[in-house]
Amino acid sequence: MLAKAEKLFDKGKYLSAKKEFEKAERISPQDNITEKLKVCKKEIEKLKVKDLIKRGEKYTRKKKLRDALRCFEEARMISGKDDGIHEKIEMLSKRLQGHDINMAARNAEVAGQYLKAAGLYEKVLAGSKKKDALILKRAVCLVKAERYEDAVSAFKDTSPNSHYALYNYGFALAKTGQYGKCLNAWDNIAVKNNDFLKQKKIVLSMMAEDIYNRFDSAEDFAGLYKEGKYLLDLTGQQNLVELVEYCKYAWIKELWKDEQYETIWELLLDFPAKIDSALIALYAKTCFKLAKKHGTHLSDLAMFWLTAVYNDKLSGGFSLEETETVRQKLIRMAEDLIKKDVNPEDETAGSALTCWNIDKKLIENIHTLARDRKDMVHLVCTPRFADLFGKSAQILRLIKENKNFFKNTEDYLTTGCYYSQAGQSLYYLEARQYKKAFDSLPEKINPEKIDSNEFVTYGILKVKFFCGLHCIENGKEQPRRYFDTASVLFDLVPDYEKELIEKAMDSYELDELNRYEEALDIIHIKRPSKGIKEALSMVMSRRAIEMYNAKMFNDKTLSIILKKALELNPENEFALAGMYETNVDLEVIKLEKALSRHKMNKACKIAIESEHERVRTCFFEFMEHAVETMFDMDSEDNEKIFLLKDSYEWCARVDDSHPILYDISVMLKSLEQR
Amino acid sequence: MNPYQILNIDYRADKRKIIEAVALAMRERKFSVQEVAMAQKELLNPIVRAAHNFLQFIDVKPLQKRLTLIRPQKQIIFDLNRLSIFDENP
Repeated sequence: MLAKAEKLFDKGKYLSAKKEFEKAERISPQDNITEKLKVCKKEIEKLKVKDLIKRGEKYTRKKKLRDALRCFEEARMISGKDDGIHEKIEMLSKRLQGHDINMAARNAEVAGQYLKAAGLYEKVLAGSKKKDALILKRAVCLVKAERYEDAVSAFKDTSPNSHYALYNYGFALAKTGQYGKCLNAWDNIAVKNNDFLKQKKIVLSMMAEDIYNRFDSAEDFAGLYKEGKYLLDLTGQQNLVELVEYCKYAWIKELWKDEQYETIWELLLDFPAKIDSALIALYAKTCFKLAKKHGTHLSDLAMFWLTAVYNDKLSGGFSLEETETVRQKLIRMAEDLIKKDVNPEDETAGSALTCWNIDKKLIENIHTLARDRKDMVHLVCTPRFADLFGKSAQILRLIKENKNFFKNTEDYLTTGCYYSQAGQSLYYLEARQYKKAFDSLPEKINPEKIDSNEFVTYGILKVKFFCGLHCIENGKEQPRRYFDTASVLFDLVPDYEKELIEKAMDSYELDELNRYEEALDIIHIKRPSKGIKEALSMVMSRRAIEMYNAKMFNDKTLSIILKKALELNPENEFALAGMYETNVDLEVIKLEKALSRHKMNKACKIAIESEHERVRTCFFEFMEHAVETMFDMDSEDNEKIFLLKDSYEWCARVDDSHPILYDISVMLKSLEQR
Repeated sequence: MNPYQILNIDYRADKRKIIEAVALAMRERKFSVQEVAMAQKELLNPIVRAAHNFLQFIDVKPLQKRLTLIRPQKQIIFDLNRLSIFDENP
């Protein structure tokens, strides 16, 4: 029996072992059996505690909190130690308490006791992990209890995103007079329920009414503007347009005092269709302040500032002369600002200064043209301003009517062009942004017809021409497409032809010569003027000789090109000189060829007929060498005499007084005397 | 710099007020002596002052004046009653 008990004990089967030990003890009590029984009891307790904890945790997972609590309490009682059981008991007790309150809150809510429910939810909040859900429940209970202010602040502690939460939040906001915020919240509810849509309309009416009421008390123009704008955008209520506009200006006045120029600019950004002097001044001043503060809005500054300072309302009590002085002072102030921001690496600031300089000159002209005409003074503005506010056509008419005012055709066309559709391209061109200039050209019009589109045409011609020149000088692409209309431009402004000719004449580098030749060739087809011919002839001959020197082609090709160059300009001295040299070279080549093949009759003929002394010199140099070789060669004297006599005859045929004849005679004499 | 801000005066200030403001600004030492002196010089020069008047102040009255503010007739606005269509089961 004892052996069986020991075996069970060793296997850890304490409950069975205990029974066997007890039986054994009953038969024969022994100390060691008592000891073993103690161990068994302890081990059995341990197992029981373990099992209780396991069950407790299982109940917790299954949310059977009361059963779980019972298990943990029993385990604590048996073990008598803490082992973390106490913590679990506390946590479960709290949860059970929260659960109870939660239940009570739910019951109160169902019973329509919303305020009580809200209070109970607040109590649960402290120990709960699901705070957002409880806050929402509390907030909705507050709405139901008509405690709207409290509800709004409760909602602020959460982020309502379900339709349920958004609706109740919006409802509380509407009830507390925050109609805009209510609509903002309700905008996120994508439900098209009739009752809900009706309610939205009611809130919109309330909001409009509220805006008018608050407007009467003339406070918080910023808020009024924002809400009015929101309502206007949403409903399109026309009666709100002017009120919103009024609030905008009132707010701008406050923002100006606070130096909030960025916000002012944002408010002004939707340019109106029509603009008056007060608004121009506001735009100009805002741009100035922004340019000064951040170095931004430089381009807008040029557009508005110049227009504003040339506005006839600027005079304000000053004499004409004083007004002009004030104007110049204001222009200088803005110019200094733009110049201050220009650094060579900043393309925007650089082009802003270019635009400024252009606009300054243009507006001066328009001002001179329009200042004495009341019906025209409103046209004194920069080109981009004119384009933005629909004044370009009138200004172009004014320019056309006063063509004689301009110092020359180019000045007239340039001024008009800036105010035309091609103006932007011209700005880019002046800022040396060639690609942008070319890409922004208006739809192509027939450049041959210069009538009402003369300014646009001029712009297209000029931009194309200068893009072409840029292309020639930089060699990035073939200039062909830019020069097909250059001849029309030269008819309008011959100075550009001179400019091209001068540049072409100053060109020496082979690739550049190539591009100039291509461009001049295209122009020459349509405009074979003397200058173009001369330039083309020069570029052509210079390129040919460069290529010849680089051994890129032979004398024959060179001669053909030079002949072509001389056909264009027979007085092309460069080609003439080149031609002379080439002709000599060509004859020398022919002569050498004949001599090397012993075609002496042909060689003599070339030497006799040639106009160039160098050809004959070449002939005699060859003969001198040949005669000396003959005289010294290892052969019979008779043979030498025969050959020398032939040579004498050939030389005499070319030049019967050449000294070589004497030398040959001496050689013959010496041979005959031997 | 805005001379009106330096001297803490508005655009209507006459010569006497400018000089008083200069004395005060010197005492307050919020701006340097040079800045105060420059502000005085600029505001006493009618041309420069006119330029500053143009730059430093805005007048929104003409912009507001052209607006006609007519309040529409009051509408009958129904009261808002909470809808239960969005309610969740408690």
